[in-house]
Amino acid sequence: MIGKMSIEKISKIFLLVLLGISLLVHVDVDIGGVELSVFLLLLLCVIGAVFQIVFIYQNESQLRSIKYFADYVALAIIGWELLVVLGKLLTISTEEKTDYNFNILMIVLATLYFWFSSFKLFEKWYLDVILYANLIIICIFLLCYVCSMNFSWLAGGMIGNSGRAASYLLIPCIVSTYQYCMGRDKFRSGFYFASALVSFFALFINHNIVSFWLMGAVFIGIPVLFRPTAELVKRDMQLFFCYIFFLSNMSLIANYTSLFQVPLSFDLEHSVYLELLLAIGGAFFFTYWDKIPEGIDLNKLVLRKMRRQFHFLLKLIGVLFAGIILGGDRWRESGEKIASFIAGFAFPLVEEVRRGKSGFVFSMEESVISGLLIFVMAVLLLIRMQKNYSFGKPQTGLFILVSYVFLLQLLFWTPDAGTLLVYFMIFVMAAFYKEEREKVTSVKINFYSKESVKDEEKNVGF
Amino acid sequence: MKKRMLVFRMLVAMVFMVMCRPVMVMAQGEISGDVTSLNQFMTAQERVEAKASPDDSAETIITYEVGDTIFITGETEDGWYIVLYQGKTGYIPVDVKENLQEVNLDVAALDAEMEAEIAEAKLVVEEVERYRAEAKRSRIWGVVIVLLVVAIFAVGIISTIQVKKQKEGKKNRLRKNVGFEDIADLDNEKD
Repeated sequence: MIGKMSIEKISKIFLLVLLGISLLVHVDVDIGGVELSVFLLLLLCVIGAVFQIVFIYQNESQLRSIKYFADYVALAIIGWELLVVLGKLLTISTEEKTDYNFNILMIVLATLYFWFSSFKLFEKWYLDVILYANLIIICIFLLCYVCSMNFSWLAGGMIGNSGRAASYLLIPCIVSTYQYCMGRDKFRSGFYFASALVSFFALFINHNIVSFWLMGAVFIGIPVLFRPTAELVKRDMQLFFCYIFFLSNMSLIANYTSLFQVPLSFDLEHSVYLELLLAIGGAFFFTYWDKIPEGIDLNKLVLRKMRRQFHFLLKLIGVLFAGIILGGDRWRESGEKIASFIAGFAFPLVEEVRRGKSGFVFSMEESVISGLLIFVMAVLLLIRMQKNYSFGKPQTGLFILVSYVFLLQLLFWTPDAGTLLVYFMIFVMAAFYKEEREKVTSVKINFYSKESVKDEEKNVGF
Repeated sequence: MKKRMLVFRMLVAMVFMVMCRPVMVMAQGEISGDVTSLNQFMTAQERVEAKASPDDSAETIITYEVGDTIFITGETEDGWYIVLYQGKTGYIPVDVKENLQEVNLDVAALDAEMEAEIAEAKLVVEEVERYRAEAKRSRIWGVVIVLLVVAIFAVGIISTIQVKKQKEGKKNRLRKNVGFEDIADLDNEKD
């Protein structure tokens, strides 16, 4: 009989192996119409299923019962994809190569959905594992682009495909930013800060403009999704300024040094505009920050007004982004100066959106029924995710943040199998993870403006 | 004493000069005395053989086929052309001249060609140098990137251990001073 502790240990080891395979195996090897990473995930999934059957037999299973509508959709996906695979196997032809990647990946994801949605405890070090695994691949990525070393045998599925690489690189960017914002220990914060900078650098080298926008939205979204303590906002803005500063200087690094072995097109003019934006944003931020009295504990001060402003900014960025994409070529065709100015920014973004293929469109192309089932599943999980959200649940907040980024990505490109699995795990946990709310008691404080404080000081006679 | 030393030195110098003279004369004869410098390119009209020494019975070391170019460096007084071919020096009797046709060289064009060759060679050398520098720079950047990532890893691992140790220390202190309940609170505490 397997004890409860052993089941937990087995689950942890299983999760670690799953994350390891998803994040580290990016070899472009085909095994009978299935990618190596998909094949390994299937193997792992089968092993996991066998273990679960043993646990169920011993009445020690940690899986929850089937009760949500999404569960039935997941079962339908498994059934349908099994039928499709069976059909493909029966009508196999020797002339054409049969591709099972999509079908098997869907079966794996739908099966793992039941396990992910039963998670009772998500420990913080899982995020560190994700970060460490990402750092290894980022190192390989940088060596390829900066030193022109050929590692395509190791990360061939990712290198050379901007969308896939962007999906992968956004994970360490978001996780390290979150960990840095939430961290209390100085030394550990240094680790997250360095990880974030390296991830940003890799993201910029990948040069996927949509991913730049998404990461920018993440910075604005953090004070909206989490309790906006002054400390959190401060740390978030520190990284945001680093991000913009780094991005605006990429044109200098790309055009005036021979650091990169691949041609990168960062416009000098755009860099100047970005730096101006950074200066203006900084001026606003520091004016607001100046109102916080000295000596106050930043961890206990919640900036509700600033949160509202960030919320407004997030909406503005969303509208601007949608406007640029939907405007498309019209910006360039218009003769007006302002339109041609916007076109300078808009056109590369529009071109990139056109080049990529949406994950939803891709699944529809594979099979209309699969596409529809996936879409329904995404909507159901999204609804549950919104119900699960609360201000006092920081980990759920992170899952929701990553899930939004994931869903937005799927509109523009399709991540590779491993990355998709990590995003899917986080998406399912954003919908189902039951995190205990932080107990917080709050008191509303109205700060004096500087002038009124000075007047008061005069009156009192300090 | 000084005079005797001086006379001795002069005698030694005279003996040395006398002994060296035949060698010097031999050398002068070889360079300018016996051989007339020609440095001329000729084309073989018929098959020509070059001997190892200016002697008809000497071994044939170079054979020129019809149309081959022959580089004649000089002519000996006893009627032999000195030829140079792939580092070998050979001798052709002057009578063979009928079978040789003089090549009219366009010196200016040759100089231009030579200059172009030199420029091209320079470019190749520069390219190789640039490639080497790039490879070196790439290696340096590679080392920097790997070190950076390793350093980040190290910071991450060390900080994790530190945080754990701090927690353990706090637990131990609480065990001694307060009571068991607070330790459970500490477990839930954020790092």
